[in-house]
Amino acid sequence: MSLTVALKAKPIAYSAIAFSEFVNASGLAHIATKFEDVNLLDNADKESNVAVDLDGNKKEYGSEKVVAAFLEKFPDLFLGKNEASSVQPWIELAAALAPSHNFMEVSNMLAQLDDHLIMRTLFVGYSLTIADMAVWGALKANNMAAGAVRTGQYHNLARWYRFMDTQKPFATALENFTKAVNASKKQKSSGP
Amino acid sequence: APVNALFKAASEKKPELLGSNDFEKAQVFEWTTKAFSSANSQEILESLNESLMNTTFIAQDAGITLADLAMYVHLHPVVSELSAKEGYKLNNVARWFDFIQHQEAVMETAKGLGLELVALDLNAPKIQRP
Repeated sequence: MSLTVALKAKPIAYSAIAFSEFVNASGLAHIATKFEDVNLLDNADKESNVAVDLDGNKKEYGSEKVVAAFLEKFPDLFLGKNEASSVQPWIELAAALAPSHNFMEVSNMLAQLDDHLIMRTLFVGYSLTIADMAVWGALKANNMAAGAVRTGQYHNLARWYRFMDTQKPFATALENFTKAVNASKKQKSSGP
Repeated sequence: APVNALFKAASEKKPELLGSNDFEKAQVFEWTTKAFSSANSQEILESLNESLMNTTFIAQDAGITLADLAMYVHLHPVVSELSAKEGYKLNNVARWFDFIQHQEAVMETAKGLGLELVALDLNAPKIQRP
């Protein structure tokens, strides 16, 4: 099983590397994450910021298909005791949030996320689900959104975001990503 | 004293329940001690609500400590009595309590202690934003 992430994509598929490390931490399977120093994995497909192969023979391109592939392969791990329908709205919101540069649009989405967490620790139920990872990835990918969360006007969301950052699989995901970025920079500066 | 015995047992069997640095350890000790004190529960509710505004658990962001467990047991009777409106007002405590009471390890122990699941209304009114 493998995951491939385009390092220079917009948006970067942070949530997919979180899914992958979450699987690895569970011990259910091992997914190797590869990083490519490109804008898109397939120039003909503008959704191809990420690709996953969980069956050993078929690559799925794009965030939407990657989420579906993880959910299909590891339903219990990514849903816990919850219904697939309960994570779907958050997956959709995350997909809209990650690429948005519209301040009003971003603010509305952040308010919606923040309100949901007034009385809740996690987005769905009482254990981590794919909803949390999708939203976490969207915030990592969107500087405007992450910046607004840091300024403290969405303190429920900020609290949840800090919790997510302390969880091992996601810390590992970020670490691997940063290493890949640094390695690609180094390669460039030492080039001919 | 029960707190000292608890800390000794935890440090031998589950040191991760005591916090991962000095600050967290101090927080764990402070809140666990409070949970075993005769301090007014209403006052504890309010100070805990403020303390939990920016953290997921009482002493740290990452996970449950002894302080969460002790406070959960201590506050169970008062949280059981909160109206929906009071729950919204103490939203940080309510959110934290609901999460703790649904953790599998806690649920097993709670059963043994006769602590029932408290039904909390999670649909607080939205925040008014400028």
